[in-house]
Amino acid sequence: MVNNKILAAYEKEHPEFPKYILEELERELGAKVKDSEVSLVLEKVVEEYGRSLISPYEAIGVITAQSVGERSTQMTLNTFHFAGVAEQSVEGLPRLIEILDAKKNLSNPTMRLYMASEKNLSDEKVKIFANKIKETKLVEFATNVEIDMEEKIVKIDFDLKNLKRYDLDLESFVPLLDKKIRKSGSVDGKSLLVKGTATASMKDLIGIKELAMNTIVYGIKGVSDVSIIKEGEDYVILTQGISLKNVQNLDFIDKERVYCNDVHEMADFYGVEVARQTIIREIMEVVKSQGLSINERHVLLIADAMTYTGSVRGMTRYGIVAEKLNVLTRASFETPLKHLSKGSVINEHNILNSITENVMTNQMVYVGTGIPKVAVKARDK
Amino acid sequence: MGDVFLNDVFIGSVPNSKKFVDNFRKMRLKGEIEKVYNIYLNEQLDFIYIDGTPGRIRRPLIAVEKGVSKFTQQVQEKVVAGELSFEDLVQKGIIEYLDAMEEENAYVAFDEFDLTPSHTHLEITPLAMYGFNTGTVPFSNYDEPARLMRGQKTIKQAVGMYALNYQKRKETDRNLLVSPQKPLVETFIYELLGFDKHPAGQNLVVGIMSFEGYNMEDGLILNQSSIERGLQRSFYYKLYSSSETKYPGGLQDKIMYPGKDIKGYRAEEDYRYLEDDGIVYLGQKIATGDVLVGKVSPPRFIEEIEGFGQMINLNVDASLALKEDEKGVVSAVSVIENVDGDKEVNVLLRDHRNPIVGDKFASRHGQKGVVGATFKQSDMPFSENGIVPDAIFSPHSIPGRKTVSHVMEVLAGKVAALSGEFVDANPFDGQSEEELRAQLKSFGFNPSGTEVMFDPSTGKRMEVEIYVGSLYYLRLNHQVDNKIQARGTGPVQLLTRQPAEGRVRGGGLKLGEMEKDALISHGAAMLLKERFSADQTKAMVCTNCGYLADPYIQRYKSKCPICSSSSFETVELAYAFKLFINELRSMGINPSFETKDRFFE
Repeated sequence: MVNNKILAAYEKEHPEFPKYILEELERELGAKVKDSEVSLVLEKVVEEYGRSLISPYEAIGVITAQSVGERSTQMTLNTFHFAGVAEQSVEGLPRLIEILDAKKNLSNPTMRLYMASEKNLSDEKVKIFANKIKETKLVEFATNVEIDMEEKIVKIDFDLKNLKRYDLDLESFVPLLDKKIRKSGSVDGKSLLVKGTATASMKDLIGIKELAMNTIVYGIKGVSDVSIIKEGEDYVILTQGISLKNVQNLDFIDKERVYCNDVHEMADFYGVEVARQTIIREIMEVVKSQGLSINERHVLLIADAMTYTGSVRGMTRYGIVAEKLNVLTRASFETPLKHLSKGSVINEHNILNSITENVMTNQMVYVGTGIPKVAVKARDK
Repeated sequence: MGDVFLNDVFIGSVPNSKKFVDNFRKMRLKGEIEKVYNIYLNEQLDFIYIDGTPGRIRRPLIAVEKGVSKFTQQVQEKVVAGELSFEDLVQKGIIEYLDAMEEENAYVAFDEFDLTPSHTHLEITPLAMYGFNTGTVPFSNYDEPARLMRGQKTIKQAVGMYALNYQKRKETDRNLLVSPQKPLVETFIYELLGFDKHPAGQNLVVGIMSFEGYNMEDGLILNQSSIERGLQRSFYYKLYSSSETKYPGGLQDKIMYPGKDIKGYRAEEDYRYLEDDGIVYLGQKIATGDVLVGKVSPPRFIEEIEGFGQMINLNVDASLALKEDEKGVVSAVSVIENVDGDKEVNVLLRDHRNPIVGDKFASRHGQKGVVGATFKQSDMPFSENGIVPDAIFSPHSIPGRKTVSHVMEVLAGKVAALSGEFVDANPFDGQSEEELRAQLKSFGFNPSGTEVMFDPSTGKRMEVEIYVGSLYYLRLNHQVDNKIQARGTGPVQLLTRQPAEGRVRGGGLKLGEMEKDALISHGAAMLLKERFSADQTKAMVCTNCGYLADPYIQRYKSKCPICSSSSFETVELAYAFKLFINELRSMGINPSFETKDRFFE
């Protein structure tokens, strides 16, 4: 709500003008500024705002495509990696394609976890926290394995002191075992026993051993590696592998700043607006890491196009192109036969209003100079 | 224990491989083992490879014993006196040929002064590290290797006198420089190759300056008056051939002066330069459309026979005529029998090519450029002595590319021109910069190589002194006359009615998808429509059923054969789209149209 007299009058007169600009203006100007000066500033702001607006029928989609496309040709030429350093894991063009196509299985899924601020943190402490996130298999605690062929028993020994250090209990391992061997598992002192069937062969027992050894007993499933970096005062744990749901149970991380680079995971967990923000952030980061720049407005358009329906859709023939209204537009992208035959079967109606079809039929394109019309009234006879 | 392989086949093992290899090499030097064999010891694996197979690349090196070159003073004197040949040196074991594998075991000194007791071989000359082509680049030790590569690449494209029997050879196209010159600044390898017997370039007086802006971005300004005196003039030869092909059934093409009654007869004047045998006059100047070889083909298919049983000539004209943009003088004609046993006529056409705007030139240092403008002598800057440069080269081409040798050649060329002696520009041991500057000074010139020059339009002295000298310039075989392409209207493709593709067919330049996008993002819809209007057609749509009308209806405007309606709308659309609709119909999809006036909605 604007209180200044002049600004309020302007708001009433021009309801289409964004309110937040007027509010910001009032905040910046303060109360002491004279009315004449306020109107002078307002005039300039309105002029500047008008200049920033896109003209009607400007082909912003094509301009965005060109802006991103030109940068991406430069990316192919310098596809160097920052080997080993987890902090700079963005990888140029392949990553950009991954984001734009909204791929499901990322080649490098990572989470960024900030530490909850009230804790008194040190490097060692964060290291312990990080270990709690990293998935640890049973094999890493085992000290000895024996296969008893006569009793048909696999016996895995543990160092109980070591387990205690990790706040672990041997009893708790049994319910974590794989379904097939869970029932036959039992604890005997410092060993875990898994019983095979009476007719089990050596091969079966080795299979049981492998299953038991690969049981994840500690940390979060799917997080194969962790690394710690420091951002100013904050400690950040970077993970290899994503599980937003399981991270929420940990009390030592700041739940408001959990971030991951998987757009779909973000959409599922936080909703589509966050997914949109993730797309923008990830694209900008890739471009920046290559020493290039794209105006953020282009990226905003891309993110909007990918998310405006409420779910994340990639820029592929299964994604946003599949939902184009016109048959010819879809057919001119990929798999033309599929679209033409399907279109003929369901009797699709194609109004020639997009650029592609008007170029195909060589009609005037509804863009730029194709819009203005001049009509001459014939003289009455 | 070292395993021994002869020509990659295991033949046995030796107890001490190092000793074995040393002995082998000693015996080879003495001539007890054939010199074609090379031996290589892989010390990691303890494998010994002896190789005598043909097809290896080997290179000669001077043998070194205990840090002393075997090519001694006495040997050198004998070689100079002509008592010893290169072959003798090889036989005596003074020069040894190593292959790529044995080179791995060798420790080769670059220079005789670098020799230590651990060296095994000595380079015959430092020049050996360059290839033949690169070795002809003067002062190449001043350059970046990447530039040398580009330099030798352009040397290979240079127009020169490649062979003296060019009139009788059968290449499709060839270029000949009219008066090639030996370079004033040359290397040892240049002479060694015999390249000076048939050079490929000319010594030009070059000024390094910006002038009128026509030499920006690697452009070159040439002196038109020099061109008229024959500067970098060349001939372009192209071979045309036509043969009497035999067809199944005993029919055969015939090379002859075509009669007027044949099918496809051209205008009479197109045949005017043919002699009675159907072949063009020798020495005749001809141009586009003129026939070189008159030829008549028999009818190919039975169906072609028409004419209601009358006796008519069914033969078809198959004459060889000049295409668009082709011209020249008939330089040689040869009638031969080709591999199929048919009569074949080869006509060699010579075209006179003066340098024009767009032709490509290069120095030997990877500095290639295209002629941007030619100025008359009166419009070129001149020096105190009245020297007018033949070419003006832009100074902006030098610092980024670091071609110091290019700058050196200008200096050396100037010295050579003044002294009347060729300058030795061998890498590493050629004439030094100080020597060249001292010589230049002794001739009364500024040792920096610069000269005071005057503006041709005002006659006033230029503010800066200009670096002028002589540079060996190569004319490259990329000439605009062979590449220029432009069209307003012209031939179209039969199927789509879109313009044909390619220069020889008189085609257009493609405005592709990305270019289309560029027009759209500029909002230039009108231009886009005009540019794509080459195949614009009118079609009629039945307003009742919506199907595209037959050509029959278009002509007579009668009723729609599908719905018997007689109201039609005429629409303008791309012929390629209409073809697309027809193809869809052939697939079993029948698109129909609704028409609406988009200007009066």
